[in-house]
Amino acid sequence: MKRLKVIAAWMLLLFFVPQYGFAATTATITIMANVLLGESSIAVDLALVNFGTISGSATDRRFTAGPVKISYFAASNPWTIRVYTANPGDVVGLIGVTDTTKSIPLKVWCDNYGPRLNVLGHAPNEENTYYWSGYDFNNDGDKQDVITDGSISEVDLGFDVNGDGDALDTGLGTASIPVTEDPIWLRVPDDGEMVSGQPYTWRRLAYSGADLDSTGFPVFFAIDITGITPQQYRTNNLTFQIIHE
Amino acid sequence: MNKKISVVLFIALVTISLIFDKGAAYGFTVSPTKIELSLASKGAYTGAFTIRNTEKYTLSVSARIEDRRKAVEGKYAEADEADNFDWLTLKLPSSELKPDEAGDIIFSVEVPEGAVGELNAMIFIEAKPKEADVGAIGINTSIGVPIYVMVAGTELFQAEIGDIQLKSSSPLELYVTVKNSGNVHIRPEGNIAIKTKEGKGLFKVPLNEYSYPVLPDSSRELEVRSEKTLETGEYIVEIEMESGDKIYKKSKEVQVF
Repeated sequence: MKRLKVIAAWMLLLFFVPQYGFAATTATITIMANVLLGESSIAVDLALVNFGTISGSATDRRFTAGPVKISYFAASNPWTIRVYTANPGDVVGLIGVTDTTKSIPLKVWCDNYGPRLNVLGHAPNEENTYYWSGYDFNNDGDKQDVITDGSISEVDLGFDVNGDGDALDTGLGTASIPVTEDPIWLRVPDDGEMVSGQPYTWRRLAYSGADLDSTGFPVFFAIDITGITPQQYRTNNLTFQIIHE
Repeated sequence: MNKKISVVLFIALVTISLIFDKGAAYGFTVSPTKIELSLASKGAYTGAFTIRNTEKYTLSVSARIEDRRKAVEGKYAEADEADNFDWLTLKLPSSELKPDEAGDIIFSVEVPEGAVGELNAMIFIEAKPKEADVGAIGINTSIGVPIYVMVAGTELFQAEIGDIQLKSSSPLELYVTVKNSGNVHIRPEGNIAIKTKEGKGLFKVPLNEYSYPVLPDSSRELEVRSEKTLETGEYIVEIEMESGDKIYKKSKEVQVF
């Protein structure tokens, strides 16, 4: 009897609280429905993004395209905006048009991968090997650390770490401006690789607690054409998705 | 760079058509964004998602269901709106949405007799400009909405704190693995206390501040980020987590070099 009273109280509450909905069919034994109202949105600005027809050289083998601007509104937490391809056969990246057995891995960058666009003034230099592949600054055998002790010297390393266009800076990697070892051009997965509830299998652009400008944040793409077969490559299914959980 | 690779690079002339330039924006909205039901065995529920084309191009709209009841080799079964699943069906109003047009996707849930724990699916509603079908080049937009249906009276809440990893000390970044060995999704919450090796409390940070779910019979790394920093030294990371009506505790000593 006490349980029935609790259920009845819940039903009354659900009818009168605006954020809850109730749409049971006649044959139902519905006890409780929690429907989070509010409109989530996602929009894409498709202004002039194309790799075009390109040819590479030993020092100019990687190419960028973008930005695509993503605007969004997330009506409830938690949320994630992720990007992926949905290619036939779960092929990753861009697929050859003539020879469909060939493909090119596709990389992506947005502000959450650092350094920020307003710091760089442009997308990260795709030819910078550190940005592309990461770098083991502290020589501990991995590329997973965040350097904060000011030990990074561009002069010693011989490359541009902070993306300011020269390789002359020292004392980089501080508590206020840490430097991460992992790459910032990140691989775009195919949907066949992604698992629900396991974000490490996704490519997240933004998420609850790591927001980006909801009125339109820029996303860039990059490819490396080293050794690829000359032909046209494309994907029909590059997807930007806002997912609630 | 060796000579062989250089030669290959110079002859590599490719056309990459990743994104078709339409010179304008397109997008859509979906409401509601999350559905959590509690139904008895054989119980049913019918509801609707309202989708709206907010921009000026006609959109091709589709939907598919990812049934998350049980993963096979790490993957969940999928179906489009034409196939559906035995416990969840979708009905689209139209495959097109004109500018400023709205429509309702009707969904129906029916709990099979004998079901226990939770029926759990993600519904992905997808849209792209209709014209892009002709060009065969395009970007899709998609919104994913979860549906959780607990089978009343059969729920089992059971969790466990797994590995605790200190990813970064400055700024603080921790990964806490939570295992859900129950049969319904959980949204564990709690606090992480950072203490000195001697046990003196330094500060606390929230665990799972945004209420990410851990699905039944799976584990999830919950990411904890804070502006706080840890100097070189030894610390104790102490976790107190609440899930269902239970409190779980675990601590680990970590060292910052």
